[in-house]
Amino acid sequence: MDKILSKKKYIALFVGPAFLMYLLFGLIPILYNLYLSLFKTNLLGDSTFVGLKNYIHLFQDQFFRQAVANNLKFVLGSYAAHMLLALLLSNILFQKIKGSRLFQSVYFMPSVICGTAIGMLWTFIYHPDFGLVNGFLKAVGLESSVRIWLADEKTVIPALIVVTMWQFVGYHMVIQLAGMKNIDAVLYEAASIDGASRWQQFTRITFPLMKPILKIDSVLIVTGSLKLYDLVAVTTSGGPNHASEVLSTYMFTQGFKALKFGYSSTIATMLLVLCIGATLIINLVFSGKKTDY
Amino acid sequence: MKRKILALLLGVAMAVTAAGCKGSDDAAAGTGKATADAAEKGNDADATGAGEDKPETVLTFMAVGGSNEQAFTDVVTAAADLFNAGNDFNAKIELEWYENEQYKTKLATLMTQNDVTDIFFTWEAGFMEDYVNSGKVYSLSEGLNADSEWMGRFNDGVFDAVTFDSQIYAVPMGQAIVPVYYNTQMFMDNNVEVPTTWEEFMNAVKTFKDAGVVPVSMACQDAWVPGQLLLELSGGAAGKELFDDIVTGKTTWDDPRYVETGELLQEMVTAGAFPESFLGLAYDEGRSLFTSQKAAMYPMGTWDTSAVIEGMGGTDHIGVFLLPAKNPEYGDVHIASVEKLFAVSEKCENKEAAMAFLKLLSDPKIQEKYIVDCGALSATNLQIDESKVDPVTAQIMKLQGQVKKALTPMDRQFGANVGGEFNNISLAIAGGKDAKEQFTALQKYAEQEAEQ
Repeated sequence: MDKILSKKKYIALFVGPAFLMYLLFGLIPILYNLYLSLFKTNLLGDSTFVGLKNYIHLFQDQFFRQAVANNLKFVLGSYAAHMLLALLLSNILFQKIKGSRLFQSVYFMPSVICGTAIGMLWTFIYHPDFGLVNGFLKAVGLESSVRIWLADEKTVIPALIVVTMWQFVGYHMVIQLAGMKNIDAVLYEAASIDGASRWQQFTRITFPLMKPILKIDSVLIVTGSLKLYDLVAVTTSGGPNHASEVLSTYMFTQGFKALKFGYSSTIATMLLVLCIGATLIINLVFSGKKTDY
Repeated sequence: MKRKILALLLGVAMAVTAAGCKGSDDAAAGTGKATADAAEKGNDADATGAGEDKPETVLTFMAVGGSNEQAFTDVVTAAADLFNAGNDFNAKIELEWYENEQYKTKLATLMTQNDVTDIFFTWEAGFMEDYVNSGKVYSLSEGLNADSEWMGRFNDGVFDAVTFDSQIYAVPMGQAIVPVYYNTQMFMDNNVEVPTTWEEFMNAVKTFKDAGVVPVSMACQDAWVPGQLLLELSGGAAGKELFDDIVTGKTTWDDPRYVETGELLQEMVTAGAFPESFLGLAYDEGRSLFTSQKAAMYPMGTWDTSAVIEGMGGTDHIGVFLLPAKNPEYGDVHIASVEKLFAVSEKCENKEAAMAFLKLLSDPKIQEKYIVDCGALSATNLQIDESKVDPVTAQIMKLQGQVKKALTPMDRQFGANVGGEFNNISLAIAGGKDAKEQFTALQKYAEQEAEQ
């Protein structure tokens, strides 16, 4: 095996198919997208080179700015839930409580259900007349808090953030739990003997040693929130009146509804830039000496 | 051992689910592809006339339909069966049906790849303009002008919204207006007469509201629903002139007449015309509110007639009237659109056969089936025996004659961006936002779009 892997041509042979797929379905479309963003085109034969005009227009576009703001709200909300809540849950389950495997499965289950089904489910949960949320609020005497959750410009984004929190907290909990399980148990034994409390063990052992995992998880959370599409498309289609518009839904409507594929490609490029920028920022924040005991 | 059995059971369940999903993809569901009368796929050689020993042409056809519009789907399927049985052009039609929003994406995608089906469903005006300008849609003018019998079937004005540079690019099957369906029993129980003026209409709203009945069913989850109402109100407030002015660019969206219309919509909201949660109700729920007899009135396009009748379990308690105009002089201005438009792709290799199928769709037999089974309004001047149609459709046909000046829905006229924004601000106005601010914002957006 070492003899095979030491030869570059065999390495290339093994890596080749996956790289080819990435090239055909990833890199080339991205480059083509960048190229299209320099044109005003409906891809029906009517194409004009406009250079950076699409980008200038984009920054003047109030709906683009609103979409970016909404995406950032999703990033913050998701990060709070999936970092803090997932970390809390994974830490609890790491303590080997009874039924921890069952809880892992239960928390993870929403993340394997397709986004469309989740969207439809929560449309019913948030229904103004017979939805669970309003039903519960009325049952506990909080009629004044009843809202038309997905049709109210003020509540639609928080309502959708709750859904993404619920959907993916288990997914990130499992990632973080896996990271925790890689930590040598001897460290915890030694800490216990030295009289360290659970909190001290978490802050001095678990958290520092999990940083590489948390870095990857942060990238997943942030880029996932930036690329969010299916939940918004199924529940509100970006409404009411662009209140829940996100970059991907705006990109879709500009392309497939308005036939402004050049402009749509510009939005896609900005999304790519935001994802790369977020990844670089996360790398910077998590850079520093690796903790080793 | 237990784990192995559990894993096996889960695996079997997954396999069954996957097989079931595949099965539903093949079934005639509203969200999938349904094939009727699938013919053998021969070469796409041009084959005209019977008796020639050439491979049969398969004409592909795609449209909005399926289980959500089963009655209409059945009518077109019957036409396809007739066409295929005749086989006059050595061609067979193969039908594909899609859900409404899915279809728009599909059409746009196929058009950009120059791979659209031979015959395809479309909407009029701004929706199809880009496709026409790109040269991907075949002009039907030559065929229509050469066949006076075919051309003569149609009502006046049905081709206006699908004519570009004097060429006709699509043929409609039907027309639609947007009347107000009303519950005759609830009107009788509350001593309300069918309103003929705006004041009478608002009084009716008040009466029903006081009686604890939802006066007007409205479901605003889809922005085009309040947009449709706002457009209808604008016709009654300012006439066809306002619509023509905005189309030709003679006026702007912040025209005081539009602001006045927005205020009319808010007047209805303030009067409690709509259900409490109307901003969050889905389209089907809006209809259900009426058919379950919780709402007295339901303003909606005539494409919904068969669904309304089915929901009510019959025609006994359904009446229709046209929304009274705010200004009586504009009583004949209402939304009237052409429906079920079909066009032929420029790359169709058997255009003669394709046009023959389009002609069949306006054939009196097919049109009669369309009117009777779907409760639709025909785009043709077919004189149908009223005893054959349901009473509601018969009333609608009479109302159609009262619509002398037609307004085209904004998202069809102005396209997805500006037209879509008109619908969005209608929703915002219905939600309480200031009408002047909203129309000013719409004008600003329209200017930005025009620059781009």
